[in-house]
Amino acid sequence: MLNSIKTNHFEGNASKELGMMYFRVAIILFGAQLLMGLIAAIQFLVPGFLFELFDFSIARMVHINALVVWMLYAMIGATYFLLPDETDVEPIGIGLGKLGFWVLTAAVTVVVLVFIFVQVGAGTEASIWLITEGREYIEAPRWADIGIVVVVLIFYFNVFATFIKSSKKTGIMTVMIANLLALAGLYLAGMFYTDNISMDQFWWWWVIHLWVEATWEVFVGTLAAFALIKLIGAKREVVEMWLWIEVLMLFGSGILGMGHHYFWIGTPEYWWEIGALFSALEPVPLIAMFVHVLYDWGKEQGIAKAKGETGSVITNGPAMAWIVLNAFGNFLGAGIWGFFHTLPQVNIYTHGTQFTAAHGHLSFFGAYATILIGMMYIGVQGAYGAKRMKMNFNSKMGIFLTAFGVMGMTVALTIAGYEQVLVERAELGATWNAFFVAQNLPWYVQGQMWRAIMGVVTLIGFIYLAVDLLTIGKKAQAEEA
Amino acid sequence: MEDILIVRPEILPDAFLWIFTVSTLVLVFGVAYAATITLAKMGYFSKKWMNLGYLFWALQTYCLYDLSVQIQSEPFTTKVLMVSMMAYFFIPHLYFRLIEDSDKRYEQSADIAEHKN
Repeated sequence: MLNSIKTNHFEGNASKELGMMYFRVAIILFGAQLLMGLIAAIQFLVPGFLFELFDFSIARMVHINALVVWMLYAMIGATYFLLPDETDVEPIGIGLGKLGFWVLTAAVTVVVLVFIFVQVGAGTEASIWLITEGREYIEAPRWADIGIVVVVLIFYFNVFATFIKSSKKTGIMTVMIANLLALAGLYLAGMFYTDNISMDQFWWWWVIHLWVEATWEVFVGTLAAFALIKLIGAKREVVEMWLWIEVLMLFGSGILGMGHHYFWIGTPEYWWEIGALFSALEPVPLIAMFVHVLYDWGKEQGIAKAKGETGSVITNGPAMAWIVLNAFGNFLGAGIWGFFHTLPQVNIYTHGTQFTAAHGHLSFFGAYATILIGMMYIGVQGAYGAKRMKMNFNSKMGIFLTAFGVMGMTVALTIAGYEQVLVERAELGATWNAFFVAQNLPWYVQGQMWRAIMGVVTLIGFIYLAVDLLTIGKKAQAEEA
Repeated sequence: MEDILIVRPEILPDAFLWIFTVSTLVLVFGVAYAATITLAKMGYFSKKWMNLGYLFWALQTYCLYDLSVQIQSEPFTTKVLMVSMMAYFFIPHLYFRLIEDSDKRYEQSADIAEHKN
């Protein structure tokens, strides 16, 4: 992966090279996210750990922001990577795209250093501009906010202009163009303040939550469609038909389903019904995506068998494994763990407990991290020009330990959250005192302990994954030579 | 001062475990229904196994109904959820109808392209 930037088989395809550059930064930020998560997990157990040096609030902030940023990096990388294949032309303004990459990477580095070393500032405008905007998930200071908008505009211009220039108009690219516009546009909703806290929260929720409930899910649909064509030779017409249905269902349920985030921020009560009904429908497209991947895989394997071909139709084992994991993870994390507490009658008890954290961990990993890692493997295969790439020990350990670790964290957090629901919310009535009583309950403490252990397992899995991404391409190339 | 109206449904602590279990079962039976129909349509199972899929769908519908009762849903919400379940019954069939049609169309266009060559 590291060498693939200079000595690659992209034959001067600058867009794919740029995609790989984004993937590299994404994987570094993924590692940073895990380290920060581990620090925060230890602080749950030992509150004095790094106290006043690197407080829980800072570790958590960097953990969550690194998650969001590495995923956006990987998404931009994936888009640049698939663009030439889907349009048959080189992107317009690739030089500008590279400039955007370096500007964004420099800005992210500065922001992270400020988060780590400066941490907080006085309650003035200067802190908002230079240190942090203090808005959960998107805490970058305002100068970086504006910089992100500029870089994203460059990125969108490249993708849109290339799509317009190309005479090939695929369904995947059509969906992607429309979806990216919504995805990028939503970021603007988090860039202004209003005096009324309910209104402020209403708009702020749009950024991350209309991303994860709608536009990111559609993005995953486009990546899955591209990957199925690439990895198992699925028929474009069938894959794109599935994609359009998924888009319909994801936007149909996700946009209003986001109403479940409005339950307790002071919005009108009709959001209870709207949020509940549409959230209840949200798992349906996830089931569809799950069935889709397995159906296409089974079908293409069956066609190959009927032709008398032996062996697997899969040309990239690790990528396919991550994409299949995505089908399961999306259903489990976003579907089951989301549906657990999406109805307002239950949500009033679970909201803000470790249930939310359990859902967050499994859904971000299952729905997004998995497919983006799958795309990285496709990138590595392309960079080394390998016709086939098989799973090896590192690939297996990477996928197994990461998935096992995240699942373990999810179960541990669910147990801790369940204790909170029963004692803190149902019995003690969600008072200030109840919160602290629940923090010391044995099941809660043990849940947090297991979460930290499983966090270590996830980190070990990540190390295997990173090593594999760095080495697998070269090995596959050597085997074919 | 006006009394504060609390509209929170009072759920007994003992009821939470079943609520979380039944909400999981809704989705587990839901995916089992979709998977059974998919595998039967793909030829991995005989078509008679589709009846098992319909049983999963019935169990899923019951679990969703039970969930709505357990969490004290409004009658309107319960009705809408049941109507959604009726729609869910047809979704896999609609899917495969569309797939078969697009497969036919794809194969026809591929045949035409081959003849032209």
